[in-house]
Order: sequence, then C-alpha cells, then structure tokens
Amino acid sequence: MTNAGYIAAGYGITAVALISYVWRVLARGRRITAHVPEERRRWM
Amino acid sequence: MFRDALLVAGKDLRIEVRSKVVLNQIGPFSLVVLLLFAFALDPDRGFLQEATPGLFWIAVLLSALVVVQRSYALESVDAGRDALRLSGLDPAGVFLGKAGASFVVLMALEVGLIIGVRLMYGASLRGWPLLLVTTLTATVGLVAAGTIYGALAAGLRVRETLLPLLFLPVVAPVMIGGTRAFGAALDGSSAEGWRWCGLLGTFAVAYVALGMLLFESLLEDS
Amino acid sequence: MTTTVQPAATAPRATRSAAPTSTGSRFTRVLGVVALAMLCLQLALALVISPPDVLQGDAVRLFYLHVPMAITGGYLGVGLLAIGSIGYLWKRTAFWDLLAASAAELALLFTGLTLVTGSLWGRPVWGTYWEWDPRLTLTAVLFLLLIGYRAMRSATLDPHLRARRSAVIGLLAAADVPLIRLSVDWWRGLHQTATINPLDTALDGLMLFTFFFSMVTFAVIFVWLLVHRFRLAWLDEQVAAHSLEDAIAERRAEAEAAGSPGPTGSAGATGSAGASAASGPGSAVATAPAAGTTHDGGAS
Repeated sequence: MTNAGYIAAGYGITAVALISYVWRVLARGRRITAHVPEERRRWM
Repeated sequence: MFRDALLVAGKDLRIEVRSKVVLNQIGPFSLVVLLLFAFALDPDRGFLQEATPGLFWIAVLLSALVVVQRSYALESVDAGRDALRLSGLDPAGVFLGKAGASFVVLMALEVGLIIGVRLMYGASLRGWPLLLVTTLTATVGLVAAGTIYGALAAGLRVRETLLPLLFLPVVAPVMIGGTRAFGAALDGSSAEGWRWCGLLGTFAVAYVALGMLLFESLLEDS
Repeated sequence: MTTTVQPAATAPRATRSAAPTSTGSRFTRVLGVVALAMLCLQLALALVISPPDVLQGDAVRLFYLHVPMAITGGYLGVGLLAIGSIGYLWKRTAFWDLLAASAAELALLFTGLTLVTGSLWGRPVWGTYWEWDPRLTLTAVLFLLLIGYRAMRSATLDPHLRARRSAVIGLLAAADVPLIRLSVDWWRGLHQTATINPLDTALDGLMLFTFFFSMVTFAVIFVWLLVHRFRLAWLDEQVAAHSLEDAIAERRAEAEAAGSPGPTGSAGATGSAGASAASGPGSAVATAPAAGTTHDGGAS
C-alpha cells in the first residue's frame, strides 16, 4: 500500500479522537445521571 | 425606528466629539498599523504597493474592532445598557443608531488610511468610483456585523478577548471581497471588482437585516 | 436526612419503565450496534476491499474518511446548529438551545478531524499539507466560527443569557457560511491551479459504493453521538438548575430533623439505604435508582 503512513495517521488520529470523545460523553453521562433525581431523568 | 436610530447615533457621535478618543487614540492606532506593515515588508522592493489592498483592509479590520469595542465601552459606564433597554426605543432603531455612529467613525478612519497608503506606500488611486463603492459597502457590512457581535460580547467578563474571536472569522468575506475589489481597482480591471462589490453588498444587506431582527433578543438581557 | 423511598411510592414506579442510569436507551443501543457494524464494514471496504485510485493511489482511502466527516460535520452539524438556534429564538425552550449546543460541539469535532485528514490526504496527493483550496479554506473558517460559538457558551453561567446569545451566534455563523463559500470560491477561482479536487475524481463501481456507504456510516455515527450528547447536556442543565433548590431542601430537612426525631431510622426497612447514599451529595431528596433498573453493558 502506497502512502501507508499518511493513511494510518489519518485513520489513527480519527479513531483516537472519536473514541476518546465517545468515552468522555458516555462516562460523564453515567456519572451525572446519578446526581439527577429519577423523575427528572426524562429527556424531553 | 429611524428617529430612534438618529437619536442613538447622535448621542454616540456627540460623546465621540467631546471625548476625542477616535481622534486621539483610534486614528493614530490605525496609522501605527500602516507603519508596522512597512517594517514587516521591505518598502524598497515594491512589496508594499503590491500588497496595498490586503494591508489596507487588515488595517481597516483592526480599526473596526477597536471602534466596536469603543462603541460598547460607551455603554458600559453608568449602566448605559440598562438605560438603552429601559428607554423604550425600538431595538432595530438602537441597532441602526449604534451601527450608524460606528459607520461614520470608521469611514473617517478609512479616509485617513487611504491618504496614508497613498502617501506612505505610493499606491495610485486609479478606478476611484470602484474604490469608493467598495469602501462604502464593505464598511456597512463591517459595522453591522461588528455592532451585533459587540452586543453579544458586551457585559461578559471575557468581552475583550471574545470579541475578536467572534468577529474576525465572520468578516472573512469582507476581507476577501474588499481586498479583491481594491486589487481590481488599482489594476484597472474594474469588471472583476464590481462582482466583488456585489458580494460585499449582499453581506451588508444580510447583516443589517439580521441585526435589525436579532437586536431585540440581545438588548433584553443584562 | 436520608430520604427513603416509601413502599407506597415504589409500587407505581415498578410498573413504569425503570429510570435510566446513563444516557443510553433502547434506541441508542440499537443505533449504536448498527453504527458499530456499519463502521466495521466501512473500514473493511475503505481500507481493504476497494481498489486504489488510478490517480491518487492508496491515498484515496483517506478520502473515504475525510469527505464524509466534512459533509456530516459541515452540513448536518451546522444545519442542526442553525435549526436549534432558530428554534430557540422562536420557542425559547431549553430543548432547542441544547440541540444547537450538542450539534455545534459535534460539528467542531468533525470539522477538526476534516482538517487533519484533509492535510494528511493533501500531503501525498497535492504535495503540501495545506492548499488554499476553497473547500478546505471554508472548513478552516467554519472551525474557527464553531470555536467562537463554544467560547461564547463557556463565557457565562447564566443559562438564559447563554442560550440567547449563543442562539444568535449560531444563527449568524450558519448564515455566514454561504457567503464565505461564495467568497472563497471566487477568490480561488481567479487563479485556479491544477489540483486534484476530491469531488472531481471520477469514481466507479465499488469505489462509489464505498464512498456513499462511508457517508451513511458517518451520518449514523453522528446521530448516535448527537443523541448521547444531547442527553448529557440535558442532565447537566438539570443538575445546574436544581442543585441550589435541592441544597435548600436538604438544609431545611436537616433543620426539621434536628427539631424532631426524623424518619431516618426507617431507611433500612425499605432496603434502599445503600442505594440512596450512592446518589451523591447535593441530591438528598433524590430517590434511589429503582430495584428493577437494568444495568446495561458496553453498547449504550
């Protein structure tokens, strides 16, 4: 594969950024849900 | 609405005439910018003449930023914002008034800058009708956008740092359009330039309209 | 005082669906699994199955990442930012504000990645990391506009002021995009250099399918993330709005408990003392998660 380095960097950086963002959102969501009373955990 | 606009613009301009901040501080600032460009680019090799349109518009953009900051600094003392809100003036009128006062101030600065680039950079001012129309439309767009963003940043603790970040990317079309139209005018290829004037006009109309529509929601908060 | 769940109160709650313990729900779990499966297929298609391009060689594989990111971030993200901002200015409800905020944050992430992948794609194909290509320039300006939006949101704590001002910024930024687009197109059109443009490349068969499949995949990932981000923003809002209220209620309850023997002792009877302790400080009135709560796994 030509330009393998650029391709690996592109996919790698994207994967790291997306996964860490998803992880942050989900973990924070889990943590903060515990601080919200049950009857207010409705999203609309 | 237009009566309210005249009232607000008159107030801002009267303060300006009495405080002379524009004359004593902002005007000299824009000339300092012109000097700095000459230091940055070698004045002997004709770089300055070539780059005149871009340098002129960067100087205008920086001056516009200072003018907008000044325009809202006027309101920050003695609870001017609350007074404006409670005055019962039409929000669209307040917007037009503040933008109008800034327009007058910025146009005065631009006249100074044009004289500056003519004398210091040796730029020839061919195609002056295009230069005039470009300057007018671009300035309307700049002050309209600046007045909205000034109101958005006003009253926040981080207003001085937030305003440039909000304002400068938004006026990218004015920067590009103004520079290209000036370039076309100085080259004598004005057909190209009038197209850019159309873009500047569109920007100006869009931001004046948005400002008149949205200023109400910006005035209602403290 | 540790408020306890009264037996009478638990009965109706048991019949209702259990309160969520995360931002996940059945909908997001299904969507998440679909997105993950599509992503696996997309990676296989983009990296292995599809052939290298005649002109670009294997660098075209970056393009299956770059263009979908640009389109989902730029069009979907900024479109939703505009819709949320207009919706807020019209309806003045938190829903629209939080929709705009969530869309803007995702758009910022996606446009940032668009710039990174664009540079990495441009280096082998154009020979430079940065080319003043109209689309790339537009993306860069858009990135800065979204940073400005984010900065505005973090500049104040007052939720109403923040919502109002950021709605105006969101609307203005979205309105500016066509003008910037036009200006950079003309600007670069005046002295067009011979560059390979992503969308001018002729694609056929499997490459075209890979391209469209990647587009749909990233759109699905975007929507999935948006739902989670929106719910997180909603919960944040709840915490911010009610923490003061709850703290007052807590103090008041403490004062009452000091005056007369409180019902603290009954906590053990309902068997939820441990759970209510876990609900954290500042939410003493919070009812403990119901016993029937499903503890979902990784695929939220």
